[in-house]
Formats: sequence, structure tokens, C-alpha cells
Amino acid sequence: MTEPTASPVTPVVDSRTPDSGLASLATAHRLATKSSLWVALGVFALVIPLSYGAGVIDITTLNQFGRYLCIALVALGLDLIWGYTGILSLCQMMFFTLGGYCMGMHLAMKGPLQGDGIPQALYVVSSQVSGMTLPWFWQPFDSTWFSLAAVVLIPGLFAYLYGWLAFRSRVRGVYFSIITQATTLAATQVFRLNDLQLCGTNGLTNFKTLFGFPLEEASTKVGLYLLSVLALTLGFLACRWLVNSRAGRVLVAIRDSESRLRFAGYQPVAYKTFAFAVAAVLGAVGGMLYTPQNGIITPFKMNPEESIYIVAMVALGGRGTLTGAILGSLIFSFSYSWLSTKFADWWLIILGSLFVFVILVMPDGLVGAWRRLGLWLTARSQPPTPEPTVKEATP
Amino acid sequence: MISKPVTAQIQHETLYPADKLDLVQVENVVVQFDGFKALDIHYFGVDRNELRVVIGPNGAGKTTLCDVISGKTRVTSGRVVFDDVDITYRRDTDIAGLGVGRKFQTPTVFESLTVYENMELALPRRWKVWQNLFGTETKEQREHIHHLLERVHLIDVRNLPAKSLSHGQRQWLEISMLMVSKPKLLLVDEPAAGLTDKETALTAELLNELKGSHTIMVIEHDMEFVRQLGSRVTVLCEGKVLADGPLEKVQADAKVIEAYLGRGKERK
Amino acid sequence: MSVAHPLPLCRLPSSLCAILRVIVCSVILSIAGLQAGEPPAGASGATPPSDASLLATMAELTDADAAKRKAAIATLAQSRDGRLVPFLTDFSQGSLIKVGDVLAVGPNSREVDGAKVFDLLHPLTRAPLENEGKSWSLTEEEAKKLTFSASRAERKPIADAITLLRLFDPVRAQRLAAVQKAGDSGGEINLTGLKALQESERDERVLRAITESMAIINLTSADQATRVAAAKTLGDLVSSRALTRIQELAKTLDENKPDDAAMLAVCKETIHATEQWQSVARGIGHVFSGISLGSVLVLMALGLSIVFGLMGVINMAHGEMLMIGAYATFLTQEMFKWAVGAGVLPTWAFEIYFLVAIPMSVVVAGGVGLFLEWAVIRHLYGRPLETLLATFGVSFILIQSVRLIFGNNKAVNNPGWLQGGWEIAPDVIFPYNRMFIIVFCAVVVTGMYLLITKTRLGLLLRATTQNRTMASSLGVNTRRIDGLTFALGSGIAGMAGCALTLISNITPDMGQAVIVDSFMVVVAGGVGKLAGAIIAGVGLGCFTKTMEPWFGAVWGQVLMLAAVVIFLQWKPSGLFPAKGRLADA
Repeated sequence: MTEPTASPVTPVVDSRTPDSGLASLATAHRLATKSSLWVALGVFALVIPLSYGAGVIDITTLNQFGRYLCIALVALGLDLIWGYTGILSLCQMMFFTLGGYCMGMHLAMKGPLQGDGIPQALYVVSSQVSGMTLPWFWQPFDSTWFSLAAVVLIPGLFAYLYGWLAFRSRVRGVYFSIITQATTLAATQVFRLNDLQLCGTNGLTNFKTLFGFPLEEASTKVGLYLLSVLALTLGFLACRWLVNSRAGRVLVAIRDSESRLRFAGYQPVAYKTFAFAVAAVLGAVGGMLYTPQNGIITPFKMNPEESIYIVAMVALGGRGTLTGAILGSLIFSFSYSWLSTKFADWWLIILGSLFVFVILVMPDGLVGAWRRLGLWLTARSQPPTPEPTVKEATP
Repeated sequence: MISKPVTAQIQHETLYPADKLDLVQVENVVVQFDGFKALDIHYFGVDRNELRVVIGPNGAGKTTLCDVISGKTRVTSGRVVFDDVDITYRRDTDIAGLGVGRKFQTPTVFESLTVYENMELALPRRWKVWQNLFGTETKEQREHIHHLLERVHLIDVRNLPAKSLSHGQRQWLEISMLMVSKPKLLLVDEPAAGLTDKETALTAELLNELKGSHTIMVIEHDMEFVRQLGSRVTVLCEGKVLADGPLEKVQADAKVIEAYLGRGKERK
Repeated sequence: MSVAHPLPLCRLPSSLCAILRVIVCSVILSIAGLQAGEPPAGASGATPPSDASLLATMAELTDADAAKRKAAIATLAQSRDGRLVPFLTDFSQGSLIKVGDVLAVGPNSREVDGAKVFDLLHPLTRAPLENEGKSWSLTEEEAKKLTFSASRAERKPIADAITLLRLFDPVRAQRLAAVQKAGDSGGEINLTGLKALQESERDERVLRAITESMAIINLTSADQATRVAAAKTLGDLVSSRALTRIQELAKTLDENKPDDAAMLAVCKETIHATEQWQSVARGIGHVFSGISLGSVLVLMALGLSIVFGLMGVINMAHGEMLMIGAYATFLTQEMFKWAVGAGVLPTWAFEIYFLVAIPMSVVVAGGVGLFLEWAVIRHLYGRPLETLLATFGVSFILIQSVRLIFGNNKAVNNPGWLQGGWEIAPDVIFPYNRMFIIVFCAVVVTGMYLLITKTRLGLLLRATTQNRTMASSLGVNTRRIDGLTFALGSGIAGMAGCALTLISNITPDMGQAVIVDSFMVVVAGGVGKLAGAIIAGVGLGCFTKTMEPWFGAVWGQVLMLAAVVIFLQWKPSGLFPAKGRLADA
């Protein structure tokens, strides 16, 4: 049994005189932290579209930013399930791809049709030369509303059922991670089959219009970009609301001590399933917006390593903080496109080293490092005061 | 025990008048771990609004008894009834839902949540997901939490994460969480373990305040603490109930003395 | 926190031990039996002509009289001596040499001082001939004058003679091939030869092939009864070789002709029986390759499981340890190739490179594991998810580094003694390399079992797994145990990689293909349970291999995953039922 110990939170006692330079730095740090969200929103919602308007960046770059924002939604979802609830899911990109496929099927149905109303992407890979009819599960995707509902419902319900089965039998920790990885591996292989009539390895492509807007047009691309900004903002706000609610605290409690929570009368299974489904839906919405911006969606997006990239993003940004997830995903996406073209051979080694480095040296990521910098600056710049922390209470 | 039903019957009648109205009834319960009998109880009950202390040497099965009641450990045979409901095969969450609250031997709180949030989670009957998505605690509940935190001197640290608390503070936090959740039965496993004498006294005071209005089962080895509670005591030894009654009577019991001293242990 | 579950690794049921022992023994015995069953060389003619008369007949080939030569060829063709095959080949290629009275062959030439020199060999034994204590050789000019070669007209009878004589080849495998070829090429001469061989042959496998070949030849017989009997025989033999012939034959038959109808009925029966047998044989084959794949999985799962039991750590780079083991094997092979080529080692040494590769793969993979534990894992103790991610990173680094160094695809040549297979029944062949893998894995698992239950290291390992704090306070250097165990687990994976080279290519990402299945084995078999790992590994291996032909590899894998998830539903208490005084045990 451990002896009662003094509080571990002892204020950093610093005998040096407060440093005014550090103090102003600390203030700057505080200001930066406070304004960061507004600045980020300003940059993505105003500066980038305006600089496109002014001709500083071209439409391709804008389109690329839009896709990064979609990936950030997946990272947000993973942060919810991993950062807050402590469940490392390695299949988030599977939900992204499922959402992307729902949207892609709709886009393909609205694209050029061949033969008996068969979308071109499907027609090309089909082994049936003549007399092919549209498979039954393609038909409803002609409807916009059905497709939009499918984007949310198919991945959401799948995640709900899957999570319920897994969490109910108390599959946890590394076991859950492994099973989700096996699942996404199996899913990618299934989607690669031509027999499934989901266009096999070629994936869904040949998109022409979205809700009647031609995808080729720059204005549609700007619209999709702004939609991505909006989706990410709403996703962020929703997640923030969720983690600040009591339910969010239950999620953290699950991470800390799931069994203890059960003895307090909560059913962790319900919360975990809920969080998993929400994360899946966030990913699926990301996939939905990604597909028209990317012009193609293939089963390779479900490859296990794609989901691991998402984990790397959240780890880099700092798990357990929503800003960290978004920041990490944006930095990762930018450096990915840069490094993987510039150092194609070394990219995997760089990525692996990043993983090891972040986990060994910066376990709470960039946001954690930023926070610690703030604490350090504050502690250094303020005169040492007897901090009102834990007092050894006496009866 | 089964081979000698007559003796068992006599023992039963002399030691425990079978009060079928007890809130908790543990009947003929055997728990085996890999062939080792951790618990073998003919009858153990805690009456409504009673404070019962369970003592016993190490490995006597005290915590196992707690585990059986709270649904953490399954019985090998026998029956556990709580508030007229058979809970022998219920899940731990359901049992907690029925009103069995528990404090673990090693204080277990939610480390990353603040003290206040820990208390908030312990509020009763708010377990569903949707209930927790919307709305917050009522003013009354908030005041109750504040009151309790003041009582255990945690009010100043209410916004600090629980991982920064000392051992004693964790013990109190967990006891306070148990109190705020208003269970029908409080299972308190070693509340004084690792506390200073002063802290122990406060813990005893808290439990004494609840005495009479709550059903409490306390597990403890600290005899001084048990004395401060001044309540009926059950002695467990090697999984069996050895003696039962007021502390003085139990301490004078030859079997109890043998159980403690015979194992070569010095006890106060 | 996560190391609290006990390690019943040592609870290998004695019955399982017994089964393993029986398997190992029977495999070894049967291999030994195969070698012993080889009939002695020249198990041929009932009354083989003596070597002297044979040589006399052979010498007649150099006679100027064409009729005499023709008679000699005919006599030789009937001699039933397989040794004449190379001799006749030499004759038809013009390498028969007669120096005085000595008959010799000189098929091989070599360069001496820029001139071609022919070494003379004994025509029957093909041993080098000696003259005045030195090996006897002729210069090109000398040889030209003394050489005899078959005339154009003689080539055909010689070829026929060779076909016939091949049937009497002293080497069983050659004889078998000749018998099959005789059946395929058909003709009266082959039928006669086969009949002759049938009388003297003692090897069952060859006898079966003779019956098969004769029946195949008889299918085209002019006699209706013979044809029907042949088809029937082939049905009894469930001959896969004859299947297409009979199928084609059946197509040409007309049901309405009375003669054909009888034949057709027999053909149909034969086809049915053969096809049925083939599906059984395929099934057995699938199960067998499932077991061999499964035993590799067992090795992988064993390493994962020991490490997980001890440190609560899942090593995502475990598959890369397998890959490293495979590359170590490849490098060993390359080193042997180089050494044999450079003359440092004798040629036969190449045959044993694989035996050297096994310890090499253990040492290299174990060393990498030890380094990984030292550099990364031990800093993350008690944080299983972080460890999982860090090892992910490590696996990326390892895969790409190996790819940069070695390129994408390498292969290992199986040593000669692992090529081929043991045909336990017609069409049911157990390849030696897969049999080797099974035996090898069984030996390693048994070794691990003994290591864990009988040695001091095993004791320390078990102690640390069950109660780290206690072990540490008793003076066990738990850090070192961690390192050693991690190295051990990696070493086993390395051995698995070494074994896997026998049946698959070596690629930098080969570990990725195995790792998910290995995890499934750990999940299904339970952590640290040796018997569980064996049953789950072999079970999953067989499951995927048998499902594959029915559903395809992809659906097989999906089914396997579904099976594991359902299995977990069936064990609702989960893999780690909580016990003890903490809420989280």
C-alpha cells in the first residue's frame, strides 16, 4: 500500500525575478492560443478563397486544400474515439471510403451512362458484354436524397453494429485495434472484387455533375471547397459540444477506467458504440465531400496504412484535443504531398521515424508541446506565488 | 458444511437469526478459484440502514464478498439477493443500476477528469447516453456536490484533475462519489487504507454520519478505525464466517483470536 | 496493469505432446522407408545377359556389315539393361570409339593447350578408362578416325530401343517417367516393353504406372473387349493422367450404337470415379497446405503471444521480423552460392545452406528485436497503444529500408533434398518442403515449451509474466527478461520467415501478409496459451486454405474474420475477465 504522499502538483518554484520579455511572450502565447481558432477559420474561409480570386493560388491548389479538410474530418472522428475514449480504431478510412462510395455511386449515376443505363465506370469493368442490367443496389443511388442519407446511414449503422458486437464481448485495447485493422484489410479486398459490381480496383470515376453543377467548373470547385470548410467547422463545433457535455466526460472516464464506470452504473458499451458511430459518420462525411473533389474513389483508400496515416495525424497534432487532430491532419497532408513526391523512396522511412519520434518524445503532440510552452512561459514570467493548489487537508 | 447439516443449522441459528428482510442476502455462496475455495458462506446479510463492518485476516475473502455482491465475481454456487431481487447472475452494470455502489480497495477515480467532474459523473440515475448529451446538473445537485467536497476538504481543488490528488484525497473523493450517487447499499472496501490517523478519523466521522440512514458495508483491517465506527462486526476467515456481533464480543472470541494469532500475525 | 494475467503457456496437454511425437516419428519413418524401398539397381530382366556378352553385342555395332549392326541393335533393345540408354545415345550422336579391341565412349571433351581432348569412358559403367596408369584420352584427330556413328537408317531403331531401354532404367524416378512416357506415346513396341517390365518390376508405384500406361495404350486397341477392360482398369486406378483421354473418347462415342453404349457406360463410370477421387485428393492437399501454413502462423503467434503476455505489448513489427528472417535465409544462400562458386566450399555444401540459414535467421531477427526493445519498446512500458503505434513506425522503416537495399522480389532455391514430394496415394502428394515446415515448426514449438517449463530462463519469464513487481523485488532483472523475451519472440518469427522461404517468395512486405492472420490466431487462441495457439493456428490455416477454392481467397479471409468475431461473441466474458482488488485488473 502506498503511503499518503504530498500533492504531486507542486508549483514550479522559481527564485529568479520575473522576466518582462518572457512575460510578453507568455501574453503573446495566450493571445495566440485564444485567437488560433478564429485565425484558422479566417484563413480557410476567407484568405484562401480570396487569394484564389486574386489569382495568387490556382484552382488545383484550392481543390487540394479542400481534400485536406475532408481528411481532417476523419482525423476529428478518430480523435473522438481514440483521443477521448481511448479506443484505437484502425479502420477510420474504411468509413471514409464507404461514405465516398455512396457519393461516388450517385455521381456515377449522374455521369455518362452506357448501354442500358449503366454508369460508365461500372460498364468498363463489367465482364458482361451485352444484356447487362443495372444492379439493384445501384438503382436507389440515382436519388440525391437517398445518396446523402446513405452516406450517413450505411457507415453509421455499420459502425454501430460492429462496435456493439465488439464492445459487447469486451474486445478492448490492442485487440480492438487489431480486429479493426483486419476488418479494413478484408473490406479493401472485398471492394477490389469485380464480382461485387462496385467497379473493382478501378474504383468509381467518370463523374460529371454534382446536383446539376458541372464538376469541371471552377465555381463548383470553389463551392465544394467552401462546403468542406463548413463541414469541418460544423464537425469541430459538434465534437466540441460533445466532449464538453457530460457524455464527453463519460467518454474520458471510459479511457481512464472503464470497469470503475461500470460499477458506477454506466454501460460503457453504449457510449463506446455511440462514439464509434459518430466517428464513423464524421469520416463518411469527409469521404462524401472528398469524392467529387478528387474525381475518383478507389478501394485503395481502405488499405490499412491509410487508416494508420490518420492515426499518425492525430498523434502528431496531439490526441485528446480537437484542434490537435485538425492541425496534425493538415500538417501531415501537406508534408505527405511534398515529401512523397520529392523523396518517394524515403517517404515511408520518414513516416516511420515520425511515428517513433512523436510517440517517444512528444506523446501529447504539437498541441501538448504548445501548451507546455505556455505553462513554462507563465511559470517563468510570473513571480513565484504560493499557488492555491492541493493543500494537505486536515480534519 | 453440507456433510454436517445439523451442526450447520445450529451454527446458523446461534450466529445469524435469519432475517429475510435483510437488504443484502448472501446465501450458501461458494466461490472457487482454480479449486481454491475463496468464499464459502452459509448466510451473510446486511439489514436496511445498518452499518456492518467485515474484518478478517489477509485472504479471508473480504474483497471477494464485495466482488460477489457487486457482480464483479461470479459465484460458483449459491444465491445473492439484493432488495428482493435475485442478482446472482446479473451484470455488474445492472447491479449498480439497482443501487449497489462500491468503493474499491485501491482508490479508483477518473484520473483525467477534475474532482468536480468525477462527482458529477457519480450523480444518480443519469446513465443513458442521451441523458448525458443534453442538460447539466440541477442547482440542488450542484450544491450537494459542493457541500460534500467542502466536507472532505476537496473544495479548493475541485477544478484540478484527479490525477494530481494525494492518496488520502482520492480515498475521500471516491467515498464522496459513493455518497453523491445515493445508492441503496454502499460497499466500502478499506476506506482507511494508507491514511494518516487524522484522515482516518475524518473518514470514520463521514461514515458515522451516514449511519442510521444508509445501508453500509465496510471492509477494514484497521481495528482502531473499526472501533471508531462502533458497529456490528462480522469476522471472515478463510472464506467462512467466523464470528459476528459487537466488536468487544468478537475480539474476545477464542476462534477469532486463534485465527489472527494462529497465523502468526500481530493485531491490535 | 496489463501484465497481470497468468501465463498458462506451460499447460500443453500431454495428449498433444503424444500426437506431436507420433506425427514427427511417422514422418521421419516414412521418409526413411521411401529411401529403403528403392529397388536395387538393374532390377530388370528376368535373365539379363551377362556383361561380357553384352559388350560383345555392343562391339558388333562397329561392324561394317549393316545387317549385323541391325541385329545387334535389336538384341540390345531386348537386353532390358538400362545402362545401354546413354550408350546408344552416344552411338547415335557419334561418340562411340573403338581403340583396338577396347570399346569406349567419349561424349565429353575438354580443352588442353588449346586442343580438344576426349576422355574415354567405359561403355557400360561409364567409369573413366585408364591407360598406363593415367586417364585415357584421345586428341580430336585420333578420335575422328576411331569414331563410329549410327547411320541415318539406324537412327529410328535406336530411338525405339532407347525408349524401350529407358523402361529398364536402374533409377526408379527415371523408370517411372519412362513408363509414363511410354503410355503417352503408345504403340505396340511400348506395350511389349511395358509387359516385359511388368514381369520383373517390384516397385508398387512403378507397377501401378505400368498398368496405367498399358491401359492407356489399350484404349486405342482394335479389340472392343480390350478397350472396355482398359477403361475399367483406368477407373479402378482413378487415373488423372487418363482423364482427358477418356473424356475425349467419350465425346466420340455414339450412345445409339450397341458397341459404343457399353464403352460409354464404362467411360462415364471411370470419369465419375476419377473426378470424385480428384476432389478428395484436392481436399487432402488443401488441408495439408493449410497445416503447413498454419504451423508458420503458430510460430508467429507464439512469439507475439509470449511478448504480449509478458509486457502487454503488441509488436506490429513482428511480421517484419519474419521478413528479416527470410532475408537472412536469402543472404545465407547467396553467401553459399558465392563460396561454392569461388571454390571456398565444395559443391555439396550448397545442399546444407538451409541448415545454416536457420540459426542465421534466428540470430539476425533476434538481434533486431533486441535492438528494437532497447531503443523503443522499453521507453513505452505500460502504454500498449503507444507501443503498437511506435512499432508500426518501426515496421514502415524496416520494410522500406529492406526495399531500398534488396529491391522488391527475391526467391530462395529449395535445396535438392526438399524438392519433390511424397505421393502417399495417387494424386495426393505431400511436398517435402511443406512436410519439413511442419516438422520444423513442431520441433520449435516443443523446444519453446521445454524452454519455458524446464529452464531457469523460462522460470524467470513465467515469474515476471505473473507478477512483475514481485519478481523484481526477488531480484529478477525484469528489464533484461523483457529484452531477452522480445529477442526470443523475434527470433521465433525469424525462424518462421526462414521456413516460409521454402513455400513463398521473399518480398519486403511479406510480413504484412502474415501478420493479420497471426493476430487472429492470438485472438482466437488466447494469449499465452500454447495449445490454443496451435489449435487456432492450424485451424485457421486449414480454414482459409479449404475455403479458398470455394469462395476465393478474399471471401475466405472475410469468413475467417467473421468467424473470429463470432467466436468472441461466444466467449462473452472476454479474453481478460477482471479479477482482484482494482477496478481495472
